[in-house]
Amino acid sequence: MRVVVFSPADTFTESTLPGLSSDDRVVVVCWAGSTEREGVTIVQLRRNKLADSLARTAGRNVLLRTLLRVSPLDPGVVFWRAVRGCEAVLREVGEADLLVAAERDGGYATWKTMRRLARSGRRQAAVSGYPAARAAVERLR
Amino acid sequence: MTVTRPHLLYTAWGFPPSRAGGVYRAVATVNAFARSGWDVTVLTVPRELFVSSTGGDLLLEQRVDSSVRVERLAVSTPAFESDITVWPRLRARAPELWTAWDWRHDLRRFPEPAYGRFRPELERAALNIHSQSPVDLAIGTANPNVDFIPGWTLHRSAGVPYVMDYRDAWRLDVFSGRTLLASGSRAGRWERTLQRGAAEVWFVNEAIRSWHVDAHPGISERAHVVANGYEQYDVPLAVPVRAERDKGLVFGYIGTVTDRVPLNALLEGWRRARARDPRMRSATLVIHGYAGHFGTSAAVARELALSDPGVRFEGPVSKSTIGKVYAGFDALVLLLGTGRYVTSGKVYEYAATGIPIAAIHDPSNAASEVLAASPARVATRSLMPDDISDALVETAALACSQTPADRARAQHWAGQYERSRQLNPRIDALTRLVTREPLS
Repeated sequence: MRVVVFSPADTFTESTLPGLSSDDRVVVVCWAGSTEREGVTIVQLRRNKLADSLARTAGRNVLLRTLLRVSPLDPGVVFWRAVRGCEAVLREVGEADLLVAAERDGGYATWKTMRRLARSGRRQAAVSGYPAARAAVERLR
Repeated sequence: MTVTRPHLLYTAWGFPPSRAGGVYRAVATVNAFARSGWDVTVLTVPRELFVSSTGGDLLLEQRVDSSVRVERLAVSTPAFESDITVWPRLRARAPELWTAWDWRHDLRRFPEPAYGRFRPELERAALNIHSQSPVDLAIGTANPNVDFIPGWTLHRSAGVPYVMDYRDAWRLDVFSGRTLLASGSRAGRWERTLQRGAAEVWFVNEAIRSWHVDAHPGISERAHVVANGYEQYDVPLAVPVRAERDKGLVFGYIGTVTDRVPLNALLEGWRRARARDPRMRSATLVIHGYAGHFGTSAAVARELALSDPGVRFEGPVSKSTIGKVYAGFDALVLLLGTGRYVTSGKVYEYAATGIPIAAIHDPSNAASEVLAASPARVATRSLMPDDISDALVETAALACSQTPADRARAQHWAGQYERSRQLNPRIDALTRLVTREPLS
């Protein structure tokens, strides 16, 4: 089974999906700066420094945070744009059995990817959160 | 009115396989009523909802008494919908805005976001169950507070007495002590209405009870503290002193790692304790539990591992076999969020083990009262790293010197918090109420 995890903060650990075997493949799509580790393919995306800085500033104020959410610099949208421009991710997604949005900011990229695949006639399983991913892995086996 | 075998309708959103903290109280309550000769029907939500959103504890389902009938409402719960293929675009693009917009379905029925929409279905289900098998008593456990609706509905339509069981509080932030919703708000008015008709209102500690009695003095006589207590599952909680403790002490924490728990302060105190005390230098801290309510913050695990080589994160453990995990510890870390209304269920479970406890929480927490007389507790003076370090070092000393007799004494002391001792007085009183037996 191939699982692609959209996790900007790289929250995936080896105990996250205990139902997977050594024959299965997990690809974690995250921002650059993550550490490489055994058993997981990491695809690191280049950070957008302006968006990072804005997100940090807005994080301290509810109004600013809300405004950022509806702007094109929303962290979820920025992450999706980075995903869209990365050939390696698109290749991995093409062979995936399951897409997982690990965090809030991975949700939009997962949804958009799922919709793109649907337009090309492919029904792609996609879930939000690791508990749902664990249940989906069991279901898809 | 049924006399020989009364019928309890128990409403709990969180019921196995839910792994939420309050679920143990629900299981213990229905089991205790069933053992006391009641027919029990539980009104709850589909099991899949927990398995696919917050994660489930499948072994806990087996702990429910086999005589308990579980009715699962086929509710539609978008907030818990984790299948992204059915999400609308707005939910994926701006989840906070989508959530706020979605609350309109709740608030027009009952003033509780994400849950208020279930009021009509809960009312219908309660009336349906009552028509099939007359209900003698209804208990709702909150949150969510919409769980109080079936009892209130049956009381209005058929005079059925009902109990409101608060595991938390509706209008009070138990961590900050702040009033979240004014008494004149819609929620405040609903709460007054619900409490006015209740036969009993249960709270988990005296601090939360007092707050509610101050808010609604009329409930004083009917307001009771039903502490969480602890219960034994497959493996006993009363574990022996570990034979291998001389090779390096093992400190343990079992519980959800949320933003509320002072984890960073603990880790800093842990590092300082290890730097100054030889017993701590060879010690290990093992953290068991979920990271975050939705179990998604696995980054916490990596951060913990990186923070100190003596710290390990080992993920969740089933309540059914939790005794086995406790048997591997020499000392426990009681890490709680700050708040004078905070007790937490694990206080009692920790106490039941008899293992020395480093109480790493604000001294004003309600948990302090519970453990005040414990022979196995060492409390930090504050949440400053040096004070935490002192408490850990002192706990290590106690863990090294505790004899089997000391351990047994601590376990015996904790016996007062066995769950059935909290519930039985209320079950007796409610049995008398519904069977009209005179008070003895």
